[in-house]
Parts: sequence; structure tokens; C-alpha cells
Amino acid sequence: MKRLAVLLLPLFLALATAPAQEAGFDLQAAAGYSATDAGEFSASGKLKGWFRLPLSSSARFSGSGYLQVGTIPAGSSAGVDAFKAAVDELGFELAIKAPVEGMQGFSFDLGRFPFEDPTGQIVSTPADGLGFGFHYPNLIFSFRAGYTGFLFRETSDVAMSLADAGRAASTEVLGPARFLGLASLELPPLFGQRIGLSFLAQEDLNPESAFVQAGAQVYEPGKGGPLDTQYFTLRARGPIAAGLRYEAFAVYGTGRILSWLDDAASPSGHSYRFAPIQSGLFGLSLALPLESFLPQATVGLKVLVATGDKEASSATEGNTQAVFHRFTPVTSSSLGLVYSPSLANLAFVEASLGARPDFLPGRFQAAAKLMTFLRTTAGPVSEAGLDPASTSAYLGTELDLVASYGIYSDLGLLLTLGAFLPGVAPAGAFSTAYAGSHLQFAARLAVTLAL
Amino acid sequence: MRSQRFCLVATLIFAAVLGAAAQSNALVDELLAQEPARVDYAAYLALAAGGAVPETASPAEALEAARAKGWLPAARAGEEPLRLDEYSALVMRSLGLKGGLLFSLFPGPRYAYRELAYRGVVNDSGGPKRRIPGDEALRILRLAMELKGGTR
Repeated sequence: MKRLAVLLLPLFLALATAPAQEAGFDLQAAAGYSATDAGEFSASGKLKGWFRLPLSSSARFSGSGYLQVGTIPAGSSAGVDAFKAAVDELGFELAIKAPVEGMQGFSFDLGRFPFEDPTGQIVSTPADGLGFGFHYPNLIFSFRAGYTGFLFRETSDVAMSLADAGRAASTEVLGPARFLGLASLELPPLFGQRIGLSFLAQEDLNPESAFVQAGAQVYEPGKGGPLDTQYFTLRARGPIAAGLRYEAFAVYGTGRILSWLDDAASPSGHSYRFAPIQSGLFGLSLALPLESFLPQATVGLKVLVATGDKEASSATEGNTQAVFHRFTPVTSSSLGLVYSPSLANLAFVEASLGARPDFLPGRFQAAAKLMTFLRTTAGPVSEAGLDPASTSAYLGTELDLVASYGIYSDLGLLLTLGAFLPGVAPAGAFSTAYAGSHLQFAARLAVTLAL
Repeated sequence: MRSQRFCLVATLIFAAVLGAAAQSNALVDELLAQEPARVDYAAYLALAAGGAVPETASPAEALEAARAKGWLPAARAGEEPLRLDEYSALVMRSLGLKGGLLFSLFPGPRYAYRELAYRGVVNDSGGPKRRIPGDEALRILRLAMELKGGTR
């Protein structure tokens, strides 16, 4: 890690001193306390650097990255136990307005840029690659291809398979390697509604040594196979009435997963073979402005439902049936501040209220979210603590409060508070023996200064 | 036609702000024709709006006043093209606008530009070193005066 810091420090110094057209640093200090399965204080410092170098009126070279030191658990003899570094963006962007008659714009980028599907729930990670965008008056087509294998392991959010989990627990510098391809089409508005279609494909490029070979007849705990998936998405959004807006989407997920299946010809009675995936993800969100009630207030409702597989033997891979039905996103999602299981075998309902009261100087924003977590089948979810004998769908309820206050344009505070009450057996799915089966909470205060 | 109408509106606004003096109108007309705007004309616009120089001053006098106050580098020549970040500093210092924590410590072009970008007064898509035309300099001044007056 020290070597990594030595390598990255000159990069940040170069960003600060280069004759770039615009460059800067954001310095953040944060302190927090979380009481989940065990209470723990933490502190961290983060330095984020960025630059934008315009090459012409339509082209620029830009980049951003960060160094983070922390967390510092109470009682830790090591003091500093985590050092993270990441390059979030680094590349060339071209945006041409009206390149030809009848076309509004064309965009192209090459390098490391955010890779996100239109729902934001399947994949959201930086990736190295390229992207094209063709903007017509009522039609937008875009294509993006990327590779995740050059992201640092410590900061990679790619978490699909046992090979990914093994990589995350290793001492390797780089994270899981996957190819991502995304094609999106935004159709002309229909009765005021925007409708989009997209296709996302990801291919597992982790090394063969990380996998169990197909056909193997001996069970290997903790090892799985290559996991290749595809996702077809239909998405609609627009106004309904009197300021009420919605977004709805449906995703059909397919692919193949190496599975531990019954096999009469095997001495063990089982063998590893590929099985098809048929899964789904559904989402609906509603947002209604309440300006007359509170300044710049919005009330929202969000529902996400991801299919599960009750026969799965584990929360990661673990298929034992001819067809696997659990939805598997490419990157882990962030749902609650305290409890945030992967969007697989999960139903999530969130009611929110956000406001921007103007009684304080500066810019103050606050939001409250009440969330309920359910599982869609009696199978496992990504977070620990469930009672294996329970068939209850109820996982728990969380209340999160987030407040940000911009004291100046370059100095801001962010306070986050979250409390999660697990649903304990028999009414809920959590085991009474689980150390975190009581009320869990987390609090964090961060100060950010833009240098 | 649209840009001509914009220039006319902008000129009228500026003329109203400065008392509609004939000399200032003539200078504003010259500034509007500049692409990119010259440093001395932009200095005149910003300093006259803030009362740091009388509206009867010449662009050269405004430039000298800006240099004397340390709002522009001494080596900056009047006929040179104007950069967005240095114009941001001129406008903020002349109008007495309050900035962020770092602007109060280092009231130079870097933090002036970032403050005005944060407030939506300047277009930051081309970066702080972008050379700006005269009509944009006028528009930035109008938005900054709205900010100072609390209407923005």
C-alpha cells in the first residue's frame, strides 16, 4: 500500500501543479459510530483530486481520483487499518453539437468513465473502455463497452460470484475482471412518456484458476464457476398528473451459472454443470413536489423487487436446480445506511421526504427515508444473520436521516443517521442467536472543504 | 437577430445601471463588438458598475485602477484577451461580493471563478481560462448584480 501511495502521490501533485485549465482538490474528514453486530468508532480522511483540460470547444481531457485513509476502529493497535486509492475517471471526451443536419449531437469518450445501466440498479462502477452517443431530436442511441479488471480491488464494487468474493478477500492489487457492454435506445415520447430499451451484457473474465471446472464431480466449498449474464430492460418515465412523476422499469435477466446438480453418473451423485438463469427485477418510483407544505419539498415512494431462488444453497451462486431464478446485479447496491443487502432475492419499499428549508443561511437540505426489507423467497440473502429454519419474508425496517449544510460554497457538512430494526424469528427472518438481531444504528458526520 | 436583440437589452440594462451616460454607452457598444473582450474594456465595465472608477473614466484608467488595487496583475496589458477567471475576480472584488471560505483567504481568480460557477453566474463548461466575448462579460455582470441585490 505504501508503494501505491508513492505511485499515486506524484499523480495528485501533477494534477495540482499542471497547467490544466481547471483542477482542484476536495478534502473530507469524517467521524462515525456504528452499532451493528459490535459497536465501533471510525474516522477517515479523504482527498479527492480532479482536473478538466479543454482541448477545444468540443473536446476535453479529464480525470478524478481519491486517496482515503481510515477507518480507525476503537481499540485497534494498528491505528490506521485501511488505505484506499482509486482513479474514478481518466479519459478523453468529445461532444459535437449538430454534426450533421437532423442530428442534435454526437458524443464519444475513451478512457475510464462511469458505467451505469439506465436503472442504476444493475451496474454502477467506473470502467475502462469507450462510448458513443447519437442524439436525434426525439431519439437517443448510445453504446458503451468497458472492462473492470484495471480497477483497484479495494474500491471495486463488482461482486457477482464466488470468484469475485475470493478476489475481494485476496491481497491482489486489481479487482474482479469483467467485460461490460451496454446498448440503450431512448424512443420518441409517447403521450408525454419517455420509453427506453436497453441491453446489458457482462462476461466473466476472471482467471480460469479461480473457477471450478465444468464436469467436476467433487464439491469445492468457496469456489464457483464463471458467471456470464445479460439483462434486457424496458423503462418508462414521465408525468402522471399535477406534478406527480413516475419511473418504472422491468428487467429480464438471463445467462448461465455453474451449478452443483444431481448427476446419477457421478460417484458423488452430483457434478458441476452450467444451468440457465431466468430472473427479473422490477422497479417503480413516484415523486410528488410539496412546495406548499415545505420549501422545495418532495415526497417519494420507491419499490424494488428482485427475484430469488428458494433452493439456492448460498447467497452467492449456490444453484442446485435446472434453472436459476435469483436476480444477480453486477455491482452491489446501496439501499440503507445500516442494512444494505444485494438486490437479489429482495423486495424493498422506501417512503421518503426531502426538503430544502430556507430559514438558515447557506444551503440546507434534509431527507428522511423509511425503508422495509423483505425477501422474495425463503432462500438466502447477501447479508448474514438469517435463521435457516425461518421461511418468513420480513427482514426488517430502517429509518435514515440525511442532512447537508453548505456553510459556504466550498465548505459543507453532511450528517447521516440510520437505525435498522431486524425482523427476528418467528415473525421475521433473522435468528435470535444473531449478535446483530437487536436495534442497529449508525451515525456519521463529514466535513468537506473544496480546495 | 436574436443576438442583436440580446445586445440591445443588455445595453439598456447596463445603461440604466450606470446612469445612461453617453460615454459608457459608447464603450459598451465597443465591448459588445469584441470577441474576445479586451482586458481594459472589461475592467472598465466591472469597476464602473461597482463604483471603483467613475463612468467617465477611460478603459485605460480602469485598467490602471484594477492594477493598483491588485485586482489584475501589473503585467496585464489592456489589449490582451480577457479570461473568464480573471473577469470573475474583477466582478466579485468590484461589487464586493462575498465568496467561500477560500475566496476570503485568497481572493484571486481561482476561487472567484469557482464561486461564480457555484452560484450559476458563469458558464463553467469551457473552464476558467476560457476567453469570453463582450456580450458574455455584460451578461455575467448583470447576473452578479442580481446576486448582490438578492434577486438571484
